[in-house]
Amino acid sequence: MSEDAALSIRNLSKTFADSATTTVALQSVNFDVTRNELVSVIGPSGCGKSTLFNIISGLTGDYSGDVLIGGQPISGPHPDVGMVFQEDSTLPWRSALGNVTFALEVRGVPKKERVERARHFLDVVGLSGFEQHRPAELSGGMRQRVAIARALAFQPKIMLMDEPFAALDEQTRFTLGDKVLEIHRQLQQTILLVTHSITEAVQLSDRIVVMSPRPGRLKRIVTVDLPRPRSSDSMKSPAFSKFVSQIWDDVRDATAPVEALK
Amino acid sequence: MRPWATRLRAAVPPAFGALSLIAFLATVEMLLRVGVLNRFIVPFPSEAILSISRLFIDEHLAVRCIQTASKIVVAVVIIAVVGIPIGTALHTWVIARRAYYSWFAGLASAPLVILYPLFLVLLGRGTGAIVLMAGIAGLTPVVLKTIEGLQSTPVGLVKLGKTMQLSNFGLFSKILLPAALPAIFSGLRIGLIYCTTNIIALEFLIDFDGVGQLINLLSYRYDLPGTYAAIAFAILVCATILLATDGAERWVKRTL
Repeated sequence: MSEDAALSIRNLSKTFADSATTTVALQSVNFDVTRNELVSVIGPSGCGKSTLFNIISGLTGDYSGDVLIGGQPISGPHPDVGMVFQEDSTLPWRSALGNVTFALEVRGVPKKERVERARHFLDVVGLSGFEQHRPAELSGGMRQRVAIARALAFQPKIMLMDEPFAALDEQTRFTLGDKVLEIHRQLQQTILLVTHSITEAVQLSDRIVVMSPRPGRLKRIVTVDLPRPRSSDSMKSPAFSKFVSQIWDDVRDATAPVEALK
Repeated sequence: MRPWATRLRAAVPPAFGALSLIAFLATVEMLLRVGVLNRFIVPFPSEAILSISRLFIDEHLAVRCIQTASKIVVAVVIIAVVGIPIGTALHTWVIARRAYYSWFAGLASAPLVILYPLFLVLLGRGTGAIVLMAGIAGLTPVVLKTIEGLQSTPVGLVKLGKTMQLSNFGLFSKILLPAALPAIFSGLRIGLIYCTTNIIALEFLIDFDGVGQLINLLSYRYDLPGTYAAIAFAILVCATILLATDGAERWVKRTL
């Protein structure tokens, strides 16, 4: 394990079994995420990305191997981990400000401080002026930004994002991608992003963990050494396209046997 | 939009509703006067309106409205206090939910008012029997809607609560219950309608105080304008309480 690792995955395997079938979702997955790094996990559908996310977030137990946060094995949801989900997770009965303060309220932060911090992080995600708006009055992209602000508000050591832009349109995805990059640069936040978008992974990541389909195994880790800052404009560069096509080849190779079976 | 323009836009639907009611009453009045409608079955709306003051003075309509409204409020409090915990318990305890859900669904469609002779024997001819009968009739929608609301809590919110390390009670009070509130209030509104129907029907049937008894009394006297005016007041009481539940829902949501 790297000494600077914020998150370490060691020989992680997970099997789902019922009376009739046994499904190996993950098999011997190993990788580290170092501090201030943005790592993406990518792979075809059914490769265990979400299972991996659920294990790291503490929502799924009963696995073999280790998940270490700051060198310590986890035994459930970890207080140093902030999470942004694929599904809309804003509380519809609370305002944008109320949604962000919720995370701090649960952790017992005094009211004055939590309002100040919530306002600050809403500003960080570009939602100043929308504090009193309810989620129903915000667009899908804005609601995901509220969720990001909420995850950032309690200053987690690691932020886990499970396909946070999956339900959004292409234009909003790019805009939010730029916002995540900005947050990563400003706050030096360690981020593990689960995504199925190769373009998004290349645009955002320092490294990309490519998974093979079921049973989910680590196929390759790609270091993306494109210069930063990488705005959505940098996607036009030949180097960017080269990375995209290289990862696409990996994902396609991994999917090919499954397709051939069909 | 300017504030006066907003207020004007908001006033249009109720004004339209009031005008259409006036138009309906005027049409009925006209049809009665030309003999298309039978005046021995339907009274003149103008006579019914004029009889309201008589009902207040001679028949103590205000007191009767308060008697009926009090019974409705008590019954609704009972169905909320009993129904929401039962719904929550059935949501949590899967075996019980599978066992009893269809029972409650069946009970919701049963004409429970026919049980009133049993309750009269058990509790006597009085407010207790009426409120209890109404409570039983109004309970099932609250139970069913509470289960539905809790079960349809978005997955993202449940995940959020779990990852925030909320206790079971914290998850219930901070996530599940607020998320289920719209469904619970919709169950309470349906329950309120069942309670109201049963309370007024029982007041009428057992001739025991409230607006229901007054309607019975006036129809027995063949006082058609008074009967129709009392029915209109019964509807008004129910509508007022129903509107109050909207206010209660908004207040609960604000305080969350």
